[in-house]
Amino acid sequence: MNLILEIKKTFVIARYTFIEIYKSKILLNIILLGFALLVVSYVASEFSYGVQSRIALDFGLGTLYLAIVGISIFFGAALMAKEIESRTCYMILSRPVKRHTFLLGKIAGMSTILAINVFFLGTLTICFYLYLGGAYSNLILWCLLLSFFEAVLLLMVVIFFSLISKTTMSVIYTICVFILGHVLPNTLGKDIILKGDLIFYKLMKLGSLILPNLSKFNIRDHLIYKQELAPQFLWGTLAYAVVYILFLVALNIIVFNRKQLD
Amino acid sequence: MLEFQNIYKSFKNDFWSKQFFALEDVSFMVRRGELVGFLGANGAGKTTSIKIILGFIKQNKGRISFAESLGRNKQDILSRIGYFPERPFFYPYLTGREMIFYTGKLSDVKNADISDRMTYWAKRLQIDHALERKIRDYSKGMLQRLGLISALIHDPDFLILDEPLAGLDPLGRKEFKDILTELNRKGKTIFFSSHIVSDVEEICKKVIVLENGKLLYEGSIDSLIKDHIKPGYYFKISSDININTQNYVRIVDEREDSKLYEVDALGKMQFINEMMEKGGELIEVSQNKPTLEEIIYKIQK
Repeated sequence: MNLILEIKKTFVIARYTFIEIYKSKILLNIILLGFALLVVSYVASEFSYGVQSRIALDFGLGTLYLAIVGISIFFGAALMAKEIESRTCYMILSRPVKRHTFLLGKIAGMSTILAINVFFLGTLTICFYLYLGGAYSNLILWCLLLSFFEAVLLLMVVIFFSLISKTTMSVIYTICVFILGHVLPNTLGKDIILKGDLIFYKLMKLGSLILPNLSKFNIRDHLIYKQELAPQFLWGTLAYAVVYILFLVALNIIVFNRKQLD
Repeated sequence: MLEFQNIYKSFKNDFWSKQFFALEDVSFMVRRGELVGFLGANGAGKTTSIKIILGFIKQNKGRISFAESLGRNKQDILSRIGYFPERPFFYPYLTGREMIFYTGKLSDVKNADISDRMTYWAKRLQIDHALERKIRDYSKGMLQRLGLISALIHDPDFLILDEPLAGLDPLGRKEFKDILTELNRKGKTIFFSSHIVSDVEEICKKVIVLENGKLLYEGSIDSLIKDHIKPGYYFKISSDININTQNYVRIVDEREDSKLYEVDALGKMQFINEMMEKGGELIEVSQNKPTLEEIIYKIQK
């Protein structure tokens, strides 16, 4: 009974978080971005010869990816920090609402915004790609799904930093995690690091173990160059994302539960 | 209803600075059915106390306990408390109606009840016309009104209000005070902070006074006044005579045509006799009845 009530309240918070963000005109920007994406994809495809559809797909997915990562980091940084700084959380936490319910509701609301983004921009990209004669592949959906999960993961990272530091710093830290999360696994994997500098190498290795391996989520090149990807890899990446996200959610709950809201 | 026991709370401005105590061994009690004024200058520790009561921040030492009638766990207790923050903080892009539904639903109130109560209170507080507007377009007074509706939407037993009258026009202040008195008469326990003594004096019987994080007084306003004043009278008489200012008489104000004397109750007859003997003309007489504000100012010194 209590759990049902908790879930219900999480949905209420998610719903109003969504309404609040929606009314702040962010979705209007997404629609504009969608049209910009169409124009850019069209222009880019016009400059290519023979592979128009692939270029359009590459541009479309790339723009979508940047858009949701940007929204995730910049809106995510303010998601909880703004609640605490402007004290709107007082209006909610003075009700019979547990802190973790509030946090989960906010995360669910923001994730819905990201999902709508992926759906809208993804649909636009796929339609344009098919219109230009591209062949459908399941990998396109996987690419969208993994981009979404990467954005949610980054959302958890930025929320974590925003709970322990200032909003601006949390954006900077998350961008660092984003860059390192993409660069470190590739760099270490290619064995080009100066192994002579053992401390530096071990630090990089340690970093790659702690930080999320975001390069796993980037399957756009495989899609564009029509390379096959084993289902084990795709499902494994999805499982990795879910586990990492759940770990960060738990960490954020612990931090938020202990936070002094003054 | 609420017991605030030996609470200490310290803060640090930054990592290197020395900690300062916002609350030092503060204890007070709010009983069921009381309307209690929580007084103190800005920075006295009122809002910090309220934040501790609601669990937004944790005290360093001390204990908060609620009456069992409010519930046994925190969630039950919070479902029976109506809170009004110092400055009501709302989501700017939501409309007033959406915000009330949001807070009402989180307090497990049915939609129909939210709608009925919102209609009643919005009409009473005269913001029914603005419920469809985005909160970012609300004035300070409208935000206060919306804050009060939000605090009352789940029909709580215990109201904790942090400076509810701040930023209201005189009519709004009167309306709020009338509502608080009315709710108290209906059995609601009300604990409200203010730095404006006259507001508290007007509607409360009990007062808790904080100064620099320490409890200065807790008790009834009547006994506070009784304990801290010497009963006496003010006599305004014509200035053509002089009354001997002995230890029971003091000149408070001297003008061209009149003098104002403050006379202790025991010396009243002696003063009147002397005035009549000297043929002085009595212009005005009133009882020396200081306001709560004057008393608090006096005990703070």
